Formats: sequence, structure tokens, C-alpha cells
Amino acid sequence: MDASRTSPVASLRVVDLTVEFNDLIALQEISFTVGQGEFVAIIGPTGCGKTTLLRAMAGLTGPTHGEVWMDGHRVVEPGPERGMVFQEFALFPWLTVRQNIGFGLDARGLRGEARAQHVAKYVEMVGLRGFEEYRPRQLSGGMKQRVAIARALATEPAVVLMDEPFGSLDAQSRSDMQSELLRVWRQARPTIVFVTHSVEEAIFLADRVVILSARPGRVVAEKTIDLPRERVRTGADFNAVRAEIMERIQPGERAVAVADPPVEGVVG
Amino acid sequence: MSAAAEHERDPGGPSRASSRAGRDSPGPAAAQRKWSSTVGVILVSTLLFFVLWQAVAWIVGSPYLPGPVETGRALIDALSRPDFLGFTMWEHVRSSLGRIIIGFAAAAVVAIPLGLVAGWFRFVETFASPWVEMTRPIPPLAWIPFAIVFFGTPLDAVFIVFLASFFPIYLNTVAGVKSVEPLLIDAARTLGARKAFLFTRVIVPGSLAHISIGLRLGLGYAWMSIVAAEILGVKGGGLGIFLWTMHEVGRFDAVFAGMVIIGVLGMLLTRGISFWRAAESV
Repeated sequence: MDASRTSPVASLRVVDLTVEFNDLIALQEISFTVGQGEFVAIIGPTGCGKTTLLRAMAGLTGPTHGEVWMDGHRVVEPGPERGMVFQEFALFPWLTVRQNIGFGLDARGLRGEARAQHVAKYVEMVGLRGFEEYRPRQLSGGMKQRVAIARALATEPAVVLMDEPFGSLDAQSRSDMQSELLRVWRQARPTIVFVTHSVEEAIFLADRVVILSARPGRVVAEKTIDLPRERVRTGADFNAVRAEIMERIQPGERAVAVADPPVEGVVG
Repeated sequence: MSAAAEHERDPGGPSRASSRAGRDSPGPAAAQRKWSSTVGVILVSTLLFFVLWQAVAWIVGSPYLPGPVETGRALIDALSRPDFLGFTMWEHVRSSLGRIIIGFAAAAVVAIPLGLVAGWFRFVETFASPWVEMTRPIPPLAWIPFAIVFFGTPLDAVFIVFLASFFPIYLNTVAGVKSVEPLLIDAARTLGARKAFLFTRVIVPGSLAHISIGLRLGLGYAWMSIVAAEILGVKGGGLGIFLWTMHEVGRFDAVFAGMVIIGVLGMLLTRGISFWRAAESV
């Protein structure tokens, strides 16, 4: 099932991407592709340029060298076909849940009944019915993140870029949100690029994991996750994959990573 | 009017919330006791103020310094019948308030759009900055000699009010645009917002808190400037004119009565502004 969904058609192509800020090299010669409808996780230690990579893919940060291609077009600016979920949620505080989710639809000029139905669909999808008229400051972290996800999905982008979206949530909401995200992904079938520093989260969610090194960020390895969904975090096969990835990130510390399976494989 | 005063801090900060929580923490009985003792202190203090005023007036014995009793009598007199110019106190108040409202509204109408555009386009801000920096240090009242001859009554006072309230509104609007979180702008762009949409749907609403601070400060400055503007320039009705006329005919009890009225109105205005602020932070 996983293999059939991973279409051979490349949706996003990152080619020799280098991003420098003054003297700092944030990303160095990054290259990888993401297939249409594929769920790719990017992991790496804190400060390896994961956010910069995602912003470059969104078109918010310009590359110093190299380029990002989407469906045969070079990415030079943000566009509604590439939705983004920010680590800090970035909800509009003066808008209600309904208005936040409808923002991208308004920008596209969608009005009236069509807009209302669309918003209602995504409110439903992320389980926020009854909270439509709330404002962001009245919501918990988990609910804010649901709004941010619904807002990014509502314009039905081909690609959704997610920057450590569950990083600020407690363990329980985090694991709930992971399952929710997989459910939403199965329904809407966007391509997802998901940045995280949790190895466990990457293995639980993704079809494929791209591993970055510490500064400057480079691609160390790619690993296809062949486990059937819904994946069991404590399963032996899950742990085997985790050990393999940990070995790639921190050679020699494998034993520690395997010794304590229920703890999240947080790197850095 | 210093630059610092024109940039009031955002009122919704954490310190405010914590002080409110701190005030609520004692039980209702303790709060009741605290409140009644506060009222007691205020009553005693007020009484002492009037006693001291009366004492100083007696000791000095100057016709230019009436005591509270004479002032009170003049106040009742001023409120109950027209002065010798033929204006009632209500007409003076109405004239002054009318000038404030027109001057303040004109300042808001010009300063808000200008501030939004200057905050968004660096070129406009840079272009406007010498104009602002050259005119802002001139106290509004320094324009009076020019305004009297150039505009004449009552536009001269309106012009002074306009100048007094323009800069705080403009500067806070510019600051408001700059205060919009870059992340929100990024988010809007990834959602497909183009320039005009971004401006009207993110920049403008994101600046409103600062714009409202600018409006409150501007209104305060408008009130401060109106009396002086009227004393020096305007003919006809107005609180400043009432004060100056009474000064010229030597009715210092009436001058003090006028000062009391101005003080009370100013207090009401400040109260109104703090209600506005409270309503906003809810």
C-alpha cells in the first residue's frame, strides 16, 4: 500500500541547495526529491538548518546557490500550491478559528456558500467543530496547531510543508496529533514534507526519512520506512529502524538508543 | 511633548495582567476594607486641599487668588447664566469641543493612511522623515501667530489641535505597521496573499492596537492645546476665551471657575479614554 502511494512522479525537487547568511552556511548542497503524495520527514540536530530548508522550499528564503523545483517550475516566491504549517502556529490573532481557516480561500477570492462549505469541511477534519468562533488566544497549543493545519490544508495545496508542528505539545497531544495528521493525510492526500528532531515521530509518520547533519546542514542519508501503518512505536521492527537511523546520526551511540525504547529518540 | 511620550507602551502587557491578578487575590472582605480605607484617605485629602487653598487665599489676600468659596460662587454663576459677552458656559464648552473634534478627526484622517503607507514602504517613510523631523520639534502653540493671521477664527484653533494630535497618531501608526510579526506576513504569503490583500488583511489589522494608542495620545494632546490656542487666537465662544476675557476684566474668581470646569472636563475625557482602553484589552 505504501509503495503504490509513493508515485514515481517527483513533486518537489531540491537541487544543490546552498543557503548562506552572511558568513554562516546554513545549508550546503542539499539535493533530494519528494514524490507526489509522499510523506517525507526531515530529521537532524537542532541548528542544522531544517527550518531554513523548509522556508526555501516554501519560497520564503532565497537560495544562495542551487534551486527548488516544483512540478517543473522553479520556486521563486511563496504560492498557495505550497502550504506551510509553522512551528509557532502563526495564527492571525485578530481572526476567529473560522476566519483563520478561511484566510487562504479569501486570498483566492472564494466567497459565499462554496467558501463556507470548504471551511466547514476542514473544521470538521481537524476536529474543531464548536470552536469556530473562538480566537487563537482562547485555544490550547494542540488546538492552535489544528487550526494551523486546517488553514494550510484548506487551500488544497499540492504540498504541505510542516516545521516541527508538534514540537511544543505535550507527549499525549503530540501522539494524538500524529495519528490525526495521518488520518487527514489519507483523506486529502497532499505531499507532506515534515521537519522534526524526533526520530520516533519521523518513523511513525513518514514514508521516507531524510537525515541532515549538524551545521552546515547536508544530507547524510535517506531511509525508506517500509513498516505497515498504523505503526506501533514499541514494536521490534520499529525499534530496529530507530536503531538504524540513530546509528546514522550518532555513530557509536546505537546501544543507548536501543536500550530505552519508550523514550523519544530526540537528537541534539 | 517628547518622542518617548508619543510612543506609549502596549497596554496589554503581562505586567498589567499580573497586577490585576494581585489586586484580586485577597478575599472579598479584605478588599472591602481596603476600598473603604482608600475612600477615607481620598476624602480627608480632598478636604485638606480645600482648607489649604482657603488658608493660602486668606494669608496672601490677593485679588488674583480667590479662595474655594469665591470660586464656587463664581462657578455657580458661570453655569447658571450667560457671561457679559452673551455666551453661556455650555456654548463655550461646545465651541471648544467642536474645535477639538474637528481638528482631531482631521489629524486621524490624514495621519493614519499616511502612517500605514510610510510604515509599509520604506521609501515613503524615508521621504517623509525630514518633513516630520523638521516640523515635529516645533510646539503646536508656536504656530499660533501664523495660524491667527493665516486661518483666522475658528480655523486657527482647529489647525493647532490638528498639529498637536497629528504626530502621535502618525508615529504610532508607523510603529504599528512595523510591529506586525514577520511570521504572520510569511504565513499570509504561503496562503496566497498578494500585496493588496496582505496590506488590508494583515498589515492594517495588525497595526490597530498601536493606532489606537496613537489616537488616545492624540486626543490628550488636542485637549492640552485647545485652551492655549483659544486664549491666543480665537474670537467668539470657547473655554480659553472665557478665561482670557475674565482675566482682562479682573474677574479672577471666574477665571478659577473656568479652570475648574476645564479640569473636570479633562478628567472626564481621561476617564473616557481609560474606558476605551479597558474595553480594548477585554
